[in-house]
Amino acid sequence: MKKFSSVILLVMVAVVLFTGCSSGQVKAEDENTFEIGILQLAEHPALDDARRGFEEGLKELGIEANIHYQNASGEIPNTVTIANKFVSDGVDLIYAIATPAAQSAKQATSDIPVLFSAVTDPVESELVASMDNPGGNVTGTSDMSPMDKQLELFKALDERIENVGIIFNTGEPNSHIQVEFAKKIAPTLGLNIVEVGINNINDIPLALDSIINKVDALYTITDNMVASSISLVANKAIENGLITVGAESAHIDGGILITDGISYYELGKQTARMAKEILVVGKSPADIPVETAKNTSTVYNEETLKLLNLDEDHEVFKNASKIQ
Amino acid sequence: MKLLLTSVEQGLIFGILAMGVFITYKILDMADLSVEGTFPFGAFLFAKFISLGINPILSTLLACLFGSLAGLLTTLLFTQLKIRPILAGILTMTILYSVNLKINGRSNIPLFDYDSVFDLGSTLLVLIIIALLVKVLLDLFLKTETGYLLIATGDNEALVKSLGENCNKYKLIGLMIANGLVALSGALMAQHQGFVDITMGASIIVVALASIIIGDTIKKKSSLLKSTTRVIIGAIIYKIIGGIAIDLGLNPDDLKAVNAFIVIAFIAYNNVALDLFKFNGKGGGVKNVTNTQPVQELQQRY
Repeated sequence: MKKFSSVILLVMVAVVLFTGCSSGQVKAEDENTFEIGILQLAEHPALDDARRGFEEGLKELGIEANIHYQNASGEIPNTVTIANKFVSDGVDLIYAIATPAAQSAKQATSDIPVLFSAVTDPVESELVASMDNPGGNVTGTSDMSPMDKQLELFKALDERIENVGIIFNTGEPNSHIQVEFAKKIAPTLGLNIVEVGINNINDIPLALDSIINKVDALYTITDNMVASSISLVANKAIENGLITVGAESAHIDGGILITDGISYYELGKQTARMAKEILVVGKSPADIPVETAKNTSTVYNEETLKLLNLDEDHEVFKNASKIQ
Repeated sequence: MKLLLTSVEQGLIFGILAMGVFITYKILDMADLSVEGTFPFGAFLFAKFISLGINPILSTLLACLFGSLAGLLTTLLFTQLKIRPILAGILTMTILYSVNLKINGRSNIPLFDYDSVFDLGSTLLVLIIIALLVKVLLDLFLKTETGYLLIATGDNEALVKSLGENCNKYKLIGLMIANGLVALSGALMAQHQGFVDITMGASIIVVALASIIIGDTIKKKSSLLKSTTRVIIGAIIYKIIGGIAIDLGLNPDDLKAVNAFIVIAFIAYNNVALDLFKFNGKGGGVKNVTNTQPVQELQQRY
């Protein structure tokens, strides 16, 4: 009986603590300071960049904000809990990073403005009614990469390239969308896409071995599993003398040859500008169109270039910045 | 308060999950790891049925019904092909991953525009009713002859065999009910959060086991408090503590470790603290047999 009462006591203390904390914890100190809740799906380099870019962007725009950052550690029930916490705290804006985080935020509130980033297709994910007219309390930036520009790089680097391999995680909606899109536009560029699906990070070496003899080059899409093992992909490609094009600049750090792509950091900054529109100008998210990355930049990896015996004076590399 | 409400709601949903796992882990004494596949399986099934225009209640029930097939698969693997139960569960989980992706042809399905069972009234009320209904039905089932034999199968297979009964039949029944409940829980979670995602099963087995362990701590020696009730309360406590961890604004990197520490604290309380009081309490008791009543009744009957 004694033990039982102690457990009950523990729970009661917990509940008191809990309710005590959640009521009126967030208070605007003055009218110009905004309360912003950041809900991030998981620890991940690209997602971290999207967050840092947003925070930096707010500072540069001179927006005074108390940032409440929460990470769901990759567990979706946590995204629901966190989103509801922000709603009960009465934040002025929720910044949701990655698709499930944004969906949970949308489910949690229909009045607090929600800005998302690192979402590839917000219409397919039903976050917004359409790209131009979001229509609800949710808008943000899409991380759809300028794939046509990236695929054009293959022919520009080597006329003989025909078959391009893509490795993707079958469990990521964003990856499916990109593969479908690549298959749609590849024929117009004289390319043929050979895709291989994986559903575990340990499948990557096998997937690489199976695809490498069938293709002339590799294209790495923005896929979390591929991103996590990008150096492995890059090394295998170099060993086999394959040209690699990446979808984002983080891939180049990992040894992929070249990209003309987006930076999640810049995307986060771009989203910060949308936050200003909402918080300072007072626009409704319903009227702010979803944006895609405005600035893309060509980046290449110098070491990979040398290992592949490519000519650095090639016009593709002329206006590009390089990573050692 | 909204956060507390969310935690209790999630606790009730996970309570149903934990009741399912309770059947395999506690009653049958088996580690059925297919749960991490069955939970999203239930959610994907629900998404499929609701998108076909079936009403939410029926869709939820169908998800539960088809979800129980996962238990059938696991049982077939270990009874017919003699694969160890733990591996059979993992294989089912792996197969379900592909099945889940195939059901709707995509890995993330928004459900914002569809009706849900929560449209019937307050979300909390609906969940309390569903959880209680599942609990009462499960309690009643465990009191039937089949239920007793199911419990006996977990406690003492030799006894069940000596009665001329086939243990595998009861394992099949247990696993199908367990997976059905897990799928039901997944279908409810999908409606609660408004979308289905392939990763929603990640770490779910930890939540289920933690709920069972925490439930065990409550009024341990009381036979009045049924195991099913303990499990539901355990799940709610676990989610509330998790909610507090989030609310206190802990470093996000620490969140997983905090969850693990909660479980460790409760196990330690169960194991160590009880030993310390061993001679003060009533003492004794058969450690692994939670319910000796059915065995006694069977012995009397035969």
